[in-house]
Amino acid sequence: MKTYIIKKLFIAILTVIGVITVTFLLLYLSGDPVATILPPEASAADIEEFREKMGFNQPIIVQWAQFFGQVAQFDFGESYISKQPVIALISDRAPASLILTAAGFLVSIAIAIPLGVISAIKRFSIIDNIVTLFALLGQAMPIYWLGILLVILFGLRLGWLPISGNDTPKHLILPAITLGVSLIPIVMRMTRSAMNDVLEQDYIRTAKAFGISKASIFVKYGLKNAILPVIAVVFVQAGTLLSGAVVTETVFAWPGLGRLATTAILAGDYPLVRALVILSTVFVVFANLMGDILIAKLDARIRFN
Amino acid sequence: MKENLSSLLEVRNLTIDFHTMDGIARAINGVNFSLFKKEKIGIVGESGCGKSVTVLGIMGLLQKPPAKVREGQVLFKGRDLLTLPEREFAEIRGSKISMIFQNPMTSLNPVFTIGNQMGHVIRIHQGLRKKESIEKAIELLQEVGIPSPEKRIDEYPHQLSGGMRQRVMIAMAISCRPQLIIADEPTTALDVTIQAQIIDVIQDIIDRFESSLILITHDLAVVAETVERVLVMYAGKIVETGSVQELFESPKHPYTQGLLGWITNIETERGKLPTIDGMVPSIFNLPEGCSFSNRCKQCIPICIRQEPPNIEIKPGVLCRCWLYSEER
Amino acid sequence: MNSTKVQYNTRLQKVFWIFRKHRLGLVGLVLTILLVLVAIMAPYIAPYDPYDQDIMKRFTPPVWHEGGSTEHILGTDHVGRDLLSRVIYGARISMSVGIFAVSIAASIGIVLGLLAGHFMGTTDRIISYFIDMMMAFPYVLLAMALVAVFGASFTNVFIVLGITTWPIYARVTRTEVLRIKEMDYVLAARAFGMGRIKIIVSEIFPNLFNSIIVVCTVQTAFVIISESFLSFLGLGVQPPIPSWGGMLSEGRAYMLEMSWLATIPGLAIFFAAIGINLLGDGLRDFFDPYKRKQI
Repeated sequence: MKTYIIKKLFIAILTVIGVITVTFLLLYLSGDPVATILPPEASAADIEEFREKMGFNQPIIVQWAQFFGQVAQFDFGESYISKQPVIALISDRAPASLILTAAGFLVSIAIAIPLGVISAIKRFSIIDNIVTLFALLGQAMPIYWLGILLVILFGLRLGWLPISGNDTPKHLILPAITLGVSLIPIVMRMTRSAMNDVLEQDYIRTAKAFGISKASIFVKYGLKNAILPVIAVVFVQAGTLLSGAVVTETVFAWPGLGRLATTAILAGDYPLVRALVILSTVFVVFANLMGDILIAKLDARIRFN
Repeated sequence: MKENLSSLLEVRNLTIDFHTMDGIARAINGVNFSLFKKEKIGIVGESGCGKSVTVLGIMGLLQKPPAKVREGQVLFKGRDLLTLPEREFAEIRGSKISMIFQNPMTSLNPVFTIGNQMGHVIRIHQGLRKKESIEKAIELLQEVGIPSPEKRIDEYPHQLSGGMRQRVMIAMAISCRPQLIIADEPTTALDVTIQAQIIDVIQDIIDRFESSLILITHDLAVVAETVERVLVMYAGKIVETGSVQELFESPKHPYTQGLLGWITNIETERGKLPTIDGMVPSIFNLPEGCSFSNRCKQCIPICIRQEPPNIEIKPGVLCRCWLYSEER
Repeated sequence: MNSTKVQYNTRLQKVFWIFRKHRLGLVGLVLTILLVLVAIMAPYIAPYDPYDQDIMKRFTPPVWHEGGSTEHILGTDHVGRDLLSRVIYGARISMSVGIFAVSIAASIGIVLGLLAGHFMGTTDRIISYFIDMMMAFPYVLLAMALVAVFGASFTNVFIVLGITTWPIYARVTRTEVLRIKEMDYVLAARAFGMGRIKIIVSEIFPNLFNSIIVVCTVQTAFVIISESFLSFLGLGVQPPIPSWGGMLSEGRAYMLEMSWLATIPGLAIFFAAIGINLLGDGLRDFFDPYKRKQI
């Protein structure tokens, strides 16, 4: 178990190094990074000055090493646009993203897990078919369009809820639902299959043989066994959640990291884009690591090795 | 034969089908037997003969679908369990009748401690409070010979050895002093060295609690030392019934004879399990006559045409074979 | 009481099951064929030129709305272009992005997956490392950043979507190759002295095909949604080219009064994605020998 975790951790660190490198190289993909960053009307003198100032005239390997050293100290430089330290911009916006992600996560869990459980208990019934179809539709739904539909219906037609910003808790409702719905299909399918697996186990038969009621078996025995694999998968799906957050924040003008990323990309604010890509990937890598460890732990307990 | 004692369990004409994608399989077919108070019986037969389906059917534990009880009754103290509302049936399970399963590795829930699992069962049947139920569980673990039970109670199943887990199962099974204990191959999944210990524990608790026992096994040695009466099953039917002594001394049915190694080749090495030539017929497509006819060395024409009747050869000894019939 | 072979008396259930499974796949197939036909036949079925502006007729509502007319069945947009024609031409954009991006991604992914699965050892470790690394990037962010660096255009969109989605094909190919290599018939082929390349071509490819076709189908839907989002942000196909995401973005500005401008292009994306997804699901069941037996 220990060697497994160390091995996984080692791979995670290697992945992070790779991610930082790829992100670093992103700017060079189109040839001259300075030309990419500066507007086309910039004069030759301007370009040279910028090149000098940003250290773009040094050999690429030196630039890489410098960049790496800075990232290791959480120094992501200054935003080209607002001239503020990137890390300050990010920590400013992080809480809003955290709130939205947590709320979206709760929405998806609150809807997907009961639906998954019901559809596992009533396997192949009409309810199961409807729920499965619902998951299929959900998978094909572009989240940003769903957001727009919710805005049109609840924000504009009915006027019940605000459609952008994050001033009051009410502002959270539509974005949270949008982000939540994007996760529902996968969480639901996972819950259903985990529950199905559990309900076929010998220990469920044992519970029945000892007169434990159906409700108790489903909730206490079934769900407790099924919930951990579901959580592990959610961890592994951290990237999906993050992508969903970027889309949702953009649609609802939610002042979080996702919207920061969109505006930074549209404005060509590379230090900010790089920092966001690196930090979010590190987040995903470690969430995946947690998921992997959780799964391994579960396996150890279930397999009785 | 204990005719003077009243019967605890009576299984009448129990017939169970499995509805699968390949068609309907008749897993057990018209099973009849009764069990008296304090009596210990064994059900033997090759794997797939319907032993487990019979007891799971009695306990109402078959997955429905695919399983379906086609007909029959299971009378426990005169009440038909199969027509009982699920809630009342659940009250009987684990308190009046309890079951020990084959694989203790997978039959205990991995995410709960021993104390949690046992405590829950004790609480729902006896209405004890949490603390009392744990004390009771510790007592029970002591009864089945688990050392330092107060420590074991907080452990998870995967921290125990296979033998220990089976003892926990047994402790759980006796927690409400059941009148009937069903043990479905309780030693098959265990190390040979532990098998005898577990059988001893079962025998000990049955005697002390004066319960009845249905023991399912394919291990004839275990049958011989544990039970009083034996049912031999083949392809979903009981083909022979008799006391242990009767069965081992003079088996009647050709299948039982084969099982006991009566008619095996002389060259069979000592210690090797006797084998019977031929294949068990598919339960999807049972032959018209006797199910054993295709493997039987004493097969006569009528065996292939017509199903043999159940013949009482002498009091308490029943055999489903044309060889003992006068009509043939 | 003789029990010979009893007939399957719940045949109805079985039929229902097959029908349910195949019906959804069938719906997917029909929708996908429809999508492809619309894309190919666009010039013949579109009532107007998708670029033709008629500023006097701007914001004509769809025919079922008050003030709508059969002249413009789905109404017109903010510069008076016929929405139906634009939706029809939009299918071309989505389908071509889907086909090109999936072809690029599948080619890269299959080659790397074959290499990893076939040679194993160091090759496998390096390729697997790249797969894991690529999969760690939050997909949307990476695609957005890449498009921003390359510059937003129709070609760049499918290139970016192609080079960011290859890991899934590589992973599936690698797993399949490793699995198939252990199969008895491949071992037998080797025992008979068949060469490595020959084994790949004659034994592994046909078996790989099923899994890859399913991944391709599902990924097509994913890529179409991704393209529409990039275009929605202005990072994808540029106006006035009629892409569904771009139309949605333009329509969004008027969603208070003219909500159809945002709902109709969205519906097009949704139906395309659902059709292709259902087809992929159906194919998965169809190719899965275990499931096929159940059906």
